[in-house]
Amino acid sequence: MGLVVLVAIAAPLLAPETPSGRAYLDRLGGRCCAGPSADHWLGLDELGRDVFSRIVYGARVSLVVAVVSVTLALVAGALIGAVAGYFGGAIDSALMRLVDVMLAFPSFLFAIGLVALLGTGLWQLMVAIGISNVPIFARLLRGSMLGVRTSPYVASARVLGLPPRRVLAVHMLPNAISPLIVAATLALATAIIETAGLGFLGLGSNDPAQPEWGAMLANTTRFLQTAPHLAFFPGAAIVITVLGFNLFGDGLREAIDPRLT
Amino acid sequence: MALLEVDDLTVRFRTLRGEVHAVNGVGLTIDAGETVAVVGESGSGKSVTALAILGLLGRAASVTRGRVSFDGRSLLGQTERQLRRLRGDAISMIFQDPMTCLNPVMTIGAQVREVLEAHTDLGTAAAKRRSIELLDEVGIPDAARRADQYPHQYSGGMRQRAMIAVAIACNPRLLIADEPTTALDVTVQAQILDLLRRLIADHGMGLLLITHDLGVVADTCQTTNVMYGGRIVETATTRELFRRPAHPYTVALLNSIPALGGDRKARLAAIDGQPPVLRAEPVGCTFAARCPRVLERCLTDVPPLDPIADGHAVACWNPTPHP
Repeated sequence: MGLVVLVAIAAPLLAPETPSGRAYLDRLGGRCCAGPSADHWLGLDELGRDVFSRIVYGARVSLVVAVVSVTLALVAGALIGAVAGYFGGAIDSALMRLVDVMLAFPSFLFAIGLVALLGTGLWQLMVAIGISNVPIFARLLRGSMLGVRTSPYVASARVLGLPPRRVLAVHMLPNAISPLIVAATLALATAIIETAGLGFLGLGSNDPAQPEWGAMLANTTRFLQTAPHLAFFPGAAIVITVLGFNLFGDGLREAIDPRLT
Repeated sequence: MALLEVDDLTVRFRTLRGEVHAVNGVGLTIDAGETVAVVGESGSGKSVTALAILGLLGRAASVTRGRVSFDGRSLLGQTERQLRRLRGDAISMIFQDPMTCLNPVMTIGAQVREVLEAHTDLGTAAAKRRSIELLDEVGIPDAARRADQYPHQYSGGMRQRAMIAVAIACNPRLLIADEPTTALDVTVQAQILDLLRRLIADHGMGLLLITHDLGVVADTCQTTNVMYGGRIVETATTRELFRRPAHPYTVALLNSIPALGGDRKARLAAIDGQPPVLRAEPVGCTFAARCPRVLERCLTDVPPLDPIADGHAVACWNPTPHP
């Protein structure tokens, strides 16, 4: 996972060519498509662009979308969860029913619906994936807030006459947040899959300067019989990244949760 | 005027299976500098009484009758904001389990400072100095360094000391201690009780000590109230109570303490039966079902808390006689 992040940051240094080449058609020599070679490690795509460069730049898109959308989901979900968990009662019920409605749709379908509503583009993509992940975080934080709310140190903070805002922010949130941090790293993996999925369906960014793994996969379906390597490498990039985030999430959970040691 | 006066306090819990009468007509007074004990088993209503005094009963419970006045001011009619200003400042409380009552993700020093900052206008630097003084006062060695440590780096006794430092930070006039030594080793218990006694003497605080441990009561408190089934069944000076217990429940409690050097083969005296679940309006004495001295009248009439000697009152139709 660290490698993927590094690659994304260092993309301009690593990639031999810019991802949006235009005048490369002649490189193909009329045939699609050249396999891996010393010049082009992962071959050329149907427009003669260097696949390695595009994958490297694609890491940026995937990571930015994943991080921004998960952050969005985390903040919004935590807010809803904290309010629900702290106040309980009618506020809790109302918010949780809202969350239930959102959870009733598979999150990918929900994201597709949101893109349909918002239009395509990178920002729309992030917002759509972000919102579709809100319910997970809201549920999770509410649950752990309920657990923390009855804990003796929260009772003792109340007995000591601390204002409710302080009890919530200083005594409850920091003690309730750790499952969310783990869930966030796992959600990053999901967000990458969703980004690729939406990209594959043509609902991501259509800007050729922002190569996206899912969109790359979609383009290659036409050449699957003649140039399977075009499909293989973006797919492998997705698998490796998602696997990396999942392993990182599991590791983080083991490090944070004392019950799993 | 007494520091704290509780009169006819009655608390009901609404539950799915009907109302629970947790506290029924409890009355007690505490003067400044005085230590008063409330003794009783789990579920006898002693902790609920304390929470009712602080106005922290929560949604499911309500005070249906009675008065609580602190320093001549009624506490029951106060708004949440007024009560919050009082809590941790003039009235403070320490809890049973020092393992869980401190916030695990805050340093000890920060938790003491937090109370100071909420109730006084000390600046950050002054609050920090004061918090170290307080930790020093409750007997935490090397307080300046240990103030920056987290609760898990403290032992149980040290955590209870830290809790006490938090509770007395604003020099409260009344301290409520709910089973302050139950979770501690016996030797540490003695140290904590010593500390509490010293603080009471130094600061002239009133102390309401809630416990089920008669040993703790014997060497700490001037007055003892015995609670059973949500009522005070006997109240007396501690000396009088140990010498001439009148209520059969008190007698049974005292008998259940094993004597040092007693017959090791003898069975520990226990009280038969279970404490009552206070679901319905009580008819008769709540202890009647387990009482060895039960009369017919005990099953139908609630005994009032009547004085039998100077400062000694008992709620029983058939109290244990003493020569």
